[in-house]
Amino acid sequence: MKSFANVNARDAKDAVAKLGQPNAVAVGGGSDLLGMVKEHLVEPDVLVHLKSIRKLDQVSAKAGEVQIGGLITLDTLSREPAIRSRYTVLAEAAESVGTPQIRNAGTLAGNVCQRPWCWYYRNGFPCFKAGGKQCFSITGENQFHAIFGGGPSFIVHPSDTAPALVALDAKFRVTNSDGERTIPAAEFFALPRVDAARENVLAQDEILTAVDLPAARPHTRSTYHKVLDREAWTHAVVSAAIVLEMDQQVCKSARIVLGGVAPIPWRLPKVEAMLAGKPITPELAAQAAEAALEGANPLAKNAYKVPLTKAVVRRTLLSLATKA
Amino acid sequence: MNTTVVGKNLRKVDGFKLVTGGAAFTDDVLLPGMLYGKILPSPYAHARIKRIDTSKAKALPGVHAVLTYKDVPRVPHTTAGQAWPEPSPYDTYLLDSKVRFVGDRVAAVAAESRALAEQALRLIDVDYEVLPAVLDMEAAMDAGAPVIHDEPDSTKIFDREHNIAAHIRREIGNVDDGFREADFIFEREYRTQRQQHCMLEPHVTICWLDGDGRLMIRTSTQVPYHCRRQVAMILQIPVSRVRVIKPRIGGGFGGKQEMLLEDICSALALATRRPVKIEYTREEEFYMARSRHPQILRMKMGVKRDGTVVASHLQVLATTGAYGSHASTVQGNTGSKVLPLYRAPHLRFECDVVYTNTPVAGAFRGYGCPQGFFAQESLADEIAYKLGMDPVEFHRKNAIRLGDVDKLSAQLGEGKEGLPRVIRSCGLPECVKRGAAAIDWDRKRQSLPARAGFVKHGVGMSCTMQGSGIAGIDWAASFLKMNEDGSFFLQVGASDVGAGADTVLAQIAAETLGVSLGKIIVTSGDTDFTPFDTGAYASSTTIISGGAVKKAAEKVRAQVLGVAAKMLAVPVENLACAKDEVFTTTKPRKSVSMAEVALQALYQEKLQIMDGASHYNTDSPPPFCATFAEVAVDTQTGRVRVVHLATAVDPGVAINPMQAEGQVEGAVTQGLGFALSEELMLNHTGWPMNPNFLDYKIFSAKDMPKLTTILVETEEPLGPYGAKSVSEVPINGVAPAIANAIFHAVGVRIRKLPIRPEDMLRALYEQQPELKPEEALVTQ
Repeated sequence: MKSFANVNARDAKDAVAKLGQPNAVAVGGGSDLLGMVKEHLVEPDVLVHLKSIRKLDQVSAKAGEVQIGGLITLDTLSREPAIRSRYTVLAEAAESVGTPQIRNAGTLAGNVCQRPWCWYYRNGFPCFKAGGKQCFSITGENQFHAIFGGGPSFIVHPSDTAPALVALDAKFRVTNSDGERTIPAAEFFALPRVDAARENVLAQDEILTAVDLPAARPHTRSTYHKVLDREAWTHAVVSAAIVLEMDQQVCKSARIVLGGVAPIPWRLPKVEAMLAGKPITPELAAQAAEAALEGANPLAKNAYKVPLTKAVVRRTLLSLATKA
Repeated sequence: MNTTVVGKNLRKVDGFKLVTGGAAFTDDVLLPGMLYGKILPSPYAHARIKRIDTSKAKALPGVHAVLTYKDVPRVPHTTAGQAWPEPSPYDTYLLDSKVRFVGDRVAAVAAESRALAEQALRLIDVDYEVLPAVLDMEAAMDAGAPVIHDEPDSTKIFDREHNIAAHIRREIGNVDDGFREADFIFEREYRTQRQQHCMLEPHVTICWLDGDGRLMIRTSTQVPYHCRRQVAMILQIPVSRVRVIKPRIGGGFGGKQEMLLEDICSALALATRRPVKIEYTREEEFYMARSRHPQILRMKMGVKRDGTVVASHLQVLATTGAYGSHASTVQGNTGSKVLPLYRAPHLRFECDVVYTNTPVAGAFRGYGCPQGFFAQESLADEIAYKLGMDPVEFHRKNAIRLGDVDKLSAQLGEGKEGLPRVIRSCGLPECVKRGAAAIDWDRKRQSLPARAGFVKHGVGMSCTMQGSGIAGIDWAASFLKMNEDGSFFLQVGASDVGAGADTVLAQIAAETLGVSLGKIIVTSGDTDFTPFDTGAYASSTTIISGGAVKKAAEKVRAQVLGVAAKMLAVPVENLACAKDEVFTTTKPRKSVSMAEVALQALYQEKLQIMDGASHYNTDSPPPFCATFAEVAVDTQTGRVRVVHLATAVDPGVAINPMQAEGQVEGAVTQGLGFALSEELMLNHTGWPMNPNFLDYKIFSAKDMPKLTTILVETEEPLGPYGAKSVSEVPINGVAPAIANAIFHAVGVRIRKLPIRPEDMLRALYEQQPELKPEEALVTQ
């Protein structure tokens, strides 16, 4: 491991200023970063600690809207009563991450911004994500790679909270040297065809400081369903974040976002439109599942994700719609 | 049996030290001036080192040695920790000019810190001539396949031109005749994967020279004596100049039945004249240590209409990776310990073990049996199903029983002819009965998988066996001496790898001497201070080392009684010892305490009460196991959850039942991973893709099913106090029991391990298209 200096940020503005130094990297919970430094995936000269910033780990409500500080730990977030009851999908997503140790250290902003867990990238292959010029998964071990939105890199976005936040139509507050900018969650993430080296639009000296959730509408219910290949400490093989606004049996509006299938949280606008104004019957759920996988482009070893994702969309939709 | 110490759930003799974090393990010492050693792994699966320049690494301040093949003796050897002469090929070199897998040794450094050592590795400049590699075992024997061991000085390789490390063919009866007698013949192919031991403590070795210039090796090993012999041979120094110290070991599972770091760490200590430590990182442990041999098994069985097995033929293709450590013996076990489970008169076992440019396989709990039993017990279930028989009935009809003689063992010894195996104790029928009851077999076989919905339940079972030591080869010695307070020092060469050997051996000594467990102080596995032992492997420690302890204790007891007889003025025949005293068995009752006997001997008689004994067996009594699994298969996600796993084991007499149960639970946990989730994956260039605990999926606490562990005790005449063994056999039956339960649940046969969600889904879509998600949409 290369040695580095630690500095504490006083506030978001100070953090951004310190990140302006050459080869500086922001650290929140640090649950992933330290491992990456050990593996020489990042070799910073300076770590700018954000945990020293006060009050960035809190949930506050204002005129129905909810603001969540980026430094809130995943564990705290998953237990927050306001989140559990009105933004269930986010609480469930936070709760599904890693292990209790990781949830105690890891932050919401860190989870959203984490680097991919593709085993080529993490194993030191000189791929796009590591500044290289190719994606090794295309002809390699791609069983856990993207079936949507791939190319030239085929990673899947590893975050559980990201699909939930896109499904909730959250807004991300980003601090930079000019002040603050607000980005809709869906526009925060970037496909590899835009920039194969990164997963989002954050610049080197920008930090994700907070997330705003719009006021929860009445009769809205939501859930996060994560398919695991082990009961703990694993990323989603496939996941679905679904938010339904119901009027009795009829679905007024739906937002469906998939995880584990694409380099970004993968929203399904066509499927959402299909569901609007209809009662969610088993037949409609099955149709929605078929439509969800339209355009899927599996690689040699991940075709199983197609039927798996269909099943996840169908079963999650149905169970959420029929939930008492 | 009327015992006071044996058979009791007594606490581990080293338990307090372990739970309070006392110094126990290899890495719990810090020697002054200690350097950190690090090995440069090959980035290529197959390459020749054309040029290697270490000058920049050597010039780095704080670097004390950089070794390449040019700096060390070239002595062909095997790293397999086996009795001399090892049956494994001598195909390995301390360092070589050729590398044969990604992770093979290129060079080694010793530096003042771990970071400096890592930096030094990056400064070594190597020019490789990359050679074509063969990763696929099915292509290894092809004409034109790259020859992995083309060096002329390696020996004992079966056919180096075709990359065949070992070849086996054995037959009893006449299998061809047997198949002609059969009413039905079944033949299937099975595949098993590369599994890693994942012991908590990685391989770690600390070497230094003592004041006399002797080489001290403190190391996490299951085989201190083999290690001493091998290091002396490789470094060309006399055995008398080497001492191997085995502290408490944090898990081995066969991975430490291997001389792995001791040679290179010693070479660095000799080069620098300073203490040197090498410890594998977890990543290195995955691909630079050892793994389970992947196998392709073709199993053919002929049966009569009534289910009687008449003939079995097992053909195995296995890969040992780049070096042939345990190549012939692991695979030999796949035949000798698996086929004789059924009483068929005609058995044939054929096997090729091939080299590939992949990480090296070696010893691993079960030692070839988990692969063999996966094939055999899966096929048995399939046959029973086709014949309309309950698998329990199939086993009742065919399984080996008390008084049977297994003749295949006579043909398949460790690297040579073996000895016939006579079944002198057998609790298998009782294991099946109690395992079935625990899982509610009869009811669930009928009622499942009726449950509506996309999650289907099913139950399956398997029967397995193992051995207890290697007949005629494994042996052990022990030594006991008495102290003034009536306590005894017990010195054994045996290695406690976490399985509880120190406690079990102390219990045997205490029982025999009539003292409490606290009166036995154990020293184990130090080649300067404890007598010989072949090591902790082959389920041998309790029966072989325990046998040696019992013999020594009987001799020492005779000395104790001799002194006491004089003190009490009664004949020796009228004396017995128990509860820390010697007493008369005739009236009037007279007694002396053990401490009084010791004081009398030491200060009046001028006699050190002490003695030693050696022990081996000419047979290897099998422990038996019946495994019953209930699974829940999610037909939409392919996820297989094990709901309940019931394991009934016949270990002979359990010297410490609590520890024996712990061994069963540990074994089935590794068996669950073998069945469902664990595989070290390589890409097409031989790179390990998942050398970490995130991507290589061992079972977590949340994944564990309900476990029921049943000990069915029998009394084995060849074992100390009737003991056989327990630590390996329970791993063997988990995968087939689960695969069979999956068939019961969803009607799909899976013949390849592990059964991950994607594998299960694929099999469902191929074999059971009617189970597609259109089926029952009940939310669970």
